[in-house]
Amino acid sequence: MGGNLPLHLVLSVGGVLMLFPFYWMIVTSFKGLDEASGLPPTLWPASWQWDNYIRAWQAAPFGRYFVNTLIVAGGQTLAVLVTSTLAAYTFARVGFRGKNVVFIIFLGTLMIPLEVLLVPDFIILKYLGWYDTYLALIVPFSASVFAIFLLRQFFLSIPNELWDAAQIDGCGRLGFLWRVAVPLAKPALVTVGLLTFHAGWNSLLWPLIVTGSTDMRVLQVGLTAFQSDARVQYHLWMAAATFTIAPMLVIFLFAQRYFIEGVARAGIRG
Amino acid sequence: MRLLSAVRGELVEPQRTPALSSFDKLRTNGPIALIAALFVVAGCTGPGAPASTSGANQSGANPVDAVEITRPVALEFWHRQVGASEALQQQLIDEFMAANSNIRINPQSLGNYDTLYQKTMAAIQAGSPPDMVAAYETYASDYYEAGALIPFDDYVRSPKYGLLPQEVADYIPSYMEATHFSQYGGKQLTFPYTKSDLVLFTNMDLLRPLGFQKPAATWDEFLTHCRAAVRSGRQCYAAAIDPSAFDGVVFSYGGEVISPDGKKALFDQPPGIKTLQLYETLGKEKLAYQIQGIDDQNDLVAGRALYMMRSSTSVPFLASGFSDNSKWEVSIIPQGGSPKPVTVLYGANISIMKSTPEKQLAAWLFIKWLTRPDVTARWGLDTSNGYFPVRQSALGQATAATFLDSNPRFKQALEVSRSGKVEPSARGWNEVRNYIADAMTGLITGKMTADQAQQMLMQKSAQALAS
Repeated sequence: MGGNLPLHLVLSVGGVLMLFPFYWMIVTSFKGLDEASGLPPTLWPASWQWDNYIRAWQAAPFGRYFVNTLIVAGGQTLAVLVTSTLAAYTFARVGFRGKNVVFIIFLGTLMIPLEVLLVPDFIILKYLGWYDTYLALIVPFSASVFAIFLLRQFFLSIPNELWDAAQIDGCGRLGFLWRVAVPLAKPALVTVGLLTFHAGWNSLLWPLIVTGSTDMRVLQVGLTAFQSDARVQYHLWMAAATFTIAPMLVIFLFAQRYFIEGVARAGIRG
Repeated sequence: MRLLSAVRGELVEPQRTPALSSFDKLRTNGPIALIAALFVVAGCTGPGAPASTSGANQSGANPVDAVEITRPVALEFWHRQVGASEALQQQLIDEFMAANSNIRINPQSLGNYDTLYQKTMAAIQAGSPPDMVAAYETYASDYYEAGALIPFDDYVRSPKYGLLPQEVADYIPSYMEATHFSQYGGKQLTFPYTKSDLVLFTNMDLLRPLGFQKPAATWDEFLTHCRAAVRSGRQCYAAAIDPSAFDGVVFSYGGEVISPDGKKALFDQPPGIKTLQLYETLGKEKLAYQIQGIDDQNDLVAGRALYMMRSSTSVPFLASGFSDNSKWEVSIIPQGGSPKPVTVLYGANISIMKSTPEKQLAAWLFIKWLTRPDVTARWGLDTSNGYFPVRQSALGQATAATFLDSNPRFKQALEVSRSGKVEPSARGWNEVRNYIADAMTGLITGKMTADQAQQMLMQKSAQALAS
């Protein structure tokens, strides 16, 4: 223990630094506007404004936004898990001509910024008649090159002997994928699922572009209700941010073991 | 049809609004420029000749007069209002719809102007733009170039639906000036809506102990005040990197930022050079410090900054932050030798997109109603947004007097707007604004000299304005 003290100290400092923004968000969500935007900042509310949460909730139709976000993030996650698993498995374990070239082209698409895709994607969706529908929010994000890359790295680490043994037992490629590779890749799949769900949960620009009615808007749009030309209602904004990210925090706490294992075993480093 | 009847009843001889040069406030960033570039590459159609409103027909009659709204029409209105301001706007829309049962308006908030612009450009390309959109003048110019926007001229002049001469004259002249585009023959492509101006905010609790009783009226005084503040261990100017503020300083030195033909930046002229040298001094002597977002407001309220320059839409926030009005002041930005006091006009407008003659007329009727003196007085004199009314007679409304009496700092900001001047809207100026921001950052942080900034600005501006 004594030898690990410096390490623990460093980790503790890192932990505090990571947690402080969350602490700040929650504490600010209980302050009044003057205190929330005043200087010097206070680490503890002078008077607790419990109704901030009610006021923040009433500032936008957050109930509807929660449902929409759940559908969108959930739909994207499910779709990405299916498409990425199949694609990654193909790139990792199926041999075909030009595989590496195709994979590099896939990776190359990671460098295309969202802004470049906005106009053509919007035009396609309009012509498909998907404007202001869940399809417009989910389908364009139903495949992820990063997820394919991460899962491919994981599938590559599966020993060939397992494939040989499965073949002897009469297992085909899909059978091996479903019965052997996917169970082994659970940490990587959880990682992909978590990252995809997180991205869907936090999306703002695309939902604003492809939806036109309040009924189809998502949570992050609700957070814009507290910022105007020259005024930010920090206290209500932080209250809304708290109940907006709460589900993500809960999910991460439950899935963190798999998440860390998935990132570590896929050879991804921050 | 009640509104249509009312319109008919108030019409007399139409009057052409003056064709004036246009300038504006441009706000963009890299992604926005990228979207615009992609849009052009994708094949926009060029300035359109909107079918029903391209001018008087061969018989000399105004084509707008032939249009009747006989069936219900629904209008999409894209804007950026949020929160209390959006609620107020919705209230006004509801009132309009209650009085005009044939017209439905579906407002859609995009939260900010960047997203609004991106979505509108994409929608134009997809052939499904909104019917009305809140737009800065440069945005309107892009929409018009794409053939998606119709001019207001025929609507304003329409004997049947237009404005009376005295009504046209009632709009704040500088606001109307900004809506006419000289590059398109003086056509009016937008209508004033969310207007404000650039003002100087002063924390008087910091200024008075330094021995000064009034905010700086000149840049020399500004530097004197700042040096005194810094000597006493205070920070002076909380500087937002806002190219409009830079333009305002150039104006205050009696200059322009671009040549009349919109082809050449004028940062190498004496007013431009003085502006760059001013920012260099502010940076070198640490009289200014760069802020992020709208932190300057917090710093001013908390007594961490003596001055800030920002849109007058900050007035309501500061009014709620300072415990009493003696603690802060609103005034015109310091002047540097301009023949008459000058500042920058901020704010967006509304434009009508090309659709059907009935929808276009319905949009015009809504915009006309929205800028009625009593309505613009409610919209423009409200603490939810801090905007100004767009009609002079709005200030004669009983509610206006009450509001201004109870909001003296807002009244000061409104008075400053009489000295407002609009910024350029030349093609390429959006990009130039990015370089101005780079120069401001370099000068305030001391990483760039005035000479270096001028060279960079002239070189890059030439490329941007030539493209």
